[in-house]
Amino acid sequence: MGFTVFRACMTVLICLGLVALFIFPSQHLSDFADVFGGMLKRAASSLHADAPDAADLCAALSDAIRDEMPVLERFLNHSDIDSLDTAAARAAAAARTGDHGTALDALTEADAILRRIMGIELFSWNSLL
Amino acid sequence: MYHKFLYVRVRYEKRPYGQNTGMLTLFLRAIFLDLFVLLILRLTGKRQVSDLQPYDLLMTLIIADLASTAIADTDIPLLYSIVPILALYLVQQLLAKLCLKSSAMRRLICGTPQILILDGVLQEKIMRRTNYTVRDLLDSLRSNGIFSVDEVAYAILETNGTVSVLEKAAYQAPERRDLGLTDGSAALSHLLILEGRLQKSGLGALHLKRADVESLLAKNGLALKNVFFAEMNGDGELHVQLDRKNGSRVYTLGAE
Repeated sequence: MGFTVFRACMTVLICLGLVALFIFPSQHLSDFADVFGGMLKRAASSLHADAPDAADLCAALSDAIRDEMPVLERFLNHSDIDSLDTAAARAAAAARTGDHGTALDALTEADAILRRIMGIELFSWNSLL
Repeated sequence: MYHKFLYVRVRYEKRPYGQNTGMLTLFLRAIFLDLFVLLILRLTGKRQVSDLQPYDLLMTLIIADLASTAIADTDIPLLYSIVPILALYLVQQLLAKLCLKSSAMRRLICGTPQILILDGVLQEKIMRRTNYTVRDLLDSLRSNGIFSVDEVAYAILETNGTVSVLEKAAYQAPERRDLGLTDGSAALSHLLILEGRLQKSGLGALHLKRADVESLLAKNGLALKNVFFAEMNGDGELHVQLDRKNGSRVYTLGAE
């Protein structure tokens, strides 16, 4: 196989790989943001309402980010994911001790981090420029 | 050995925050990105820096910078470096194809060669346009073994930044054909033994076998195992150098 053929094959593979990278990570991130955002809202509502399941919802939120971390770290800045994890863990810990004010603050911070990640990662003129 | 492995496993599982492998991660990332950049640079097809157009050189520098960022900063995923490098590679390939297909694109991207000296006369207007000073030009002429502008018929600034020079006929060195010496071969020499090892490529090119080389050496009282280097020139002469143990002696064996 000549070098020219090898290069052509590699170029095609690179194009396909890039197309896959354009589609799948952003799809995964969008799906994660939908699920995580929904869980955030539910947890925040429970905390506002002093519902008994607030601590469980915050714990589930922390577990969700921890489960997703290995995948997200493949295509997102690790410190962003770590910040999200820290905020979720703080909310879970505060909710467990009944400190709903601190838990709500932590959830607000987690929401802001998620929005920032989505703002950077989603294609838009703002992120492009 | 097995017990040691188990011990490490147990220690690892007992650690609540896991085993830190930061240095190993850095090491492996560096190796991976090095191989990746090597592959990309080989795919671009440029062999040495002097072959590079300014744009290609710039691209190579950007690729190196992108790779080094991801090597040193384990906080960012490798994909943050890989995707831009692949994008640059694709753009470079696209531009290379466009340059091959269209001379207009080639002029636009690579520029055109510029004549800096024509028949001993400096082309001031072109030199100003290309930001090429007389001092730079004189440097380049001296690098080409020319010490006076008057000796130059053409000096051309190539698109890769080098200056090609054609001397006036009166200053050109005579060639063999000018002296009526048209005989002699211009065939390549073939490497037969390198660092004591027979070279299959050289043997194949000359349609020789190991036994042929051994017998040629034996006729001259030499043994293959004592030869450090041997090459056969276009006239069939074998240039042989013995190894250090045999005094690194040099022989030229006649054509068979």
